[in-house]
Amino acid sequence: MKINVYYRMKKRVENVVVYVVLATALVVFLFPVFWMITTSFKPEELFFVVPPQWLPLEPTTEHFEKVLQAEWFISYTTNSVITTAVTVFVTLVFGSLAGYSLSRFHFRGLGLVMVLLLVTQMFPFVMYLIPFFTFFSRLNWLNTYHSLVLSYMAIALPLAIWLLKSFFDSIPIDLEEQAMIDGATRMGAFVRVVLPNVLPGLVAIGMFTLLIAYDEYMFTLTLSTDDKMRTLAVGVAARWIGLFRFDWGGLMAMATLMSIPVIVLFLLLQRYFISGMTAGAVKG
Amino acid sequence: MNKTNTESKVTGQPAPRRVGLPWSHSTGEKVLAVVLILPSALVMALVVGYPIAYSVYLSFFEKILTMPKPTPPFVGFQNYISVIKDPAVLESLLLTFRYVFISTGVSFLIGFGLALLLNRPLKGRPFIRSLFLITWLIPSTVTATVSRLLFSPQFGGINLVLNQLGIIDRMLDWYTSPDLALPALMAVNIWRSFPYMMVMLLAGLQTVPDELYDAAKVDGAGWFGNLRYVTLPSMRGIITIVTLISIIWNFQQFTTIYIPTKGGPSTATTTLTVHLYKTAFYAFDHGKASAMGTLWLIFLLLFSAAYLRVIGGRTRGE
Repeated sequence: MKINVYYRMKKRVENVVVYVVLATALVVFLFPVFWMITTSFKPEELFFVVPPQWLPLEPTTEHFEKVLQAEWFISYTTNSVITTAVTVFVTLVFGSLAGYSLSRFHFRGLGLVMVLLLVTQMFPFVMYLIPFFTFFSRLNWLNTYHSLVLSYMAIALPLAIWLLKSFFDSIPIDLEEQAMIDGATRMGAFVRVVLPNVLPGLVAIGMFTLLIAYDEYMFTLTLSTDDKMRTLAVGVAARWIGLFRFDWGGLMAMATLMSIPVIVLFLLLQRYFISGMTAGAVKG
Repeated sequence: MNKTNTESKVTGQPAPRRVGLPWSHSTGEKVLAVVLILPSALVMALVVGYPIAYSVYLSFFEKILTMPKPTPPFVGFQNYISVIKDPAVLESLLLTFRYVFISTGVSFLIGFGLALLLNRPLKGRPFIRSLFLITWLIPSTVTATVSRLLFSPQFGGINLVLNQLGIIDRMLDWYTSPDLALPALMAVNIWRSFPYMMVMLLAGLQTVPDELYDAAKVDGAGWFGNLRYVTLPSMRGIITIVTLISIIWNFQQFTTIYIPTKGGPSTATTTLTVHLYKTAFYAFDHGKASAMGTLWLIFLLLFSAAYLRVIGGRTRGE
């Protein structure tokens, strides 16, 4: 039928337009990433060439070699990995226990608690610097891992508890009741029955926490005055401030190296992450 | 205190039935409930409760670090008055409003637009979505640092591209130019944050029931009618939440502003966070900074309540 043919052609043209728009958007938005990566493979002399070399004709790995072998890079990476891993683990454990408790047990003033958790995100984190510095220095905890982890949790934990509670809320209590009738303890039911069902949520919140901890700059800069206790986040930003002759190649190499693990992790976990991220908000 | 939550506040769909135990708790369970929240409560008392309480407390005292007074004197609301009267604070506040609302607004538009495009059955949709998410995943410290190179006058990518496209004829010095610095920062922020919006809005779009679109088509609605009468009203809840979260987080932005420009040139990019930081660490006036922080908190609380009521259209009883 004529109408059918017209409709199908219209749809096809529409699809092509959509793909073109998306492709253009991708090119525009991913350009800075492309720039970062290609610059890290460019030998230094070619930076200033006009017209610019978009793709390095003679790619070099000298920047990467220099960075990967640098002592400060190894130190920053170790610190980042340790503080991030510990923060994610502790936040998930504490957060799910608390979120579960808030979800399942009848607390007086529960509404207030939930509001307060949100409110803490509205207080400027910059203000935490003074009390943190005073408090941690008095305890002699400056330049330690624990002060960093605790400071990261100040940002991540309230968010985690709030999100986890809503995830637990979305799981009907029948599952635990059934498990307990079958003889499991409440905590046993929690681990064996409830947790597997919130897995996407745990992955999403774990990833959020990871991004917060891995990227944290303010607190780390203040609480770790010793360069040996600093993280990649501080290193990439602070190490090159004030130098008049920038090692842009090295910096881009470091930036690329820093970004890769996060992207890879996301690609591996993306299904869980996306479903976790969206389930929390959409279900309300 | 059993909330009879028969309707989810966000989507208007029936919510899962009330969770929580149908019987009252035994003592053992009460203990368990407390034990489970104890670790979190302790950590949060230490790293959240204490700093906020300390800041609010400090705001009533005159504490300037360079002063040799042994104990800071109590000055009541003097710090607050000083903050409200301070023209630098007002300038910073207006700047922050510009930064926050334009950033949220544009990243919402981009995110929503892309979500609409992605809402069709396309091949490779998850792949495309993941590509867009890269800009959000890259740590903000990396983004801020790389942006310093990208916007640099000599060999920054932005200048080169704009030059090659014929949009500009000379290299612009973005971060040191009073007119261009803030737009550049906003562009970076939008670049980073739109994917989050996109993903959330896409999920929201997928919850809009097809029947509504069919009904609209019967009524003769075109593409725009669909948007206005079906899509937007159905998505009101999630749009409200996502934009409000974005606004609150944009107020908090420090790293992405401080690293490229340090609030400069002069005060062209000194948003409230930067101004607060400078008051505390350059002027060493902790009392005044604390007052700023407290006022900020109060402001955001009131703003959020108003925002939820106006844009969200419901009175949210939490």
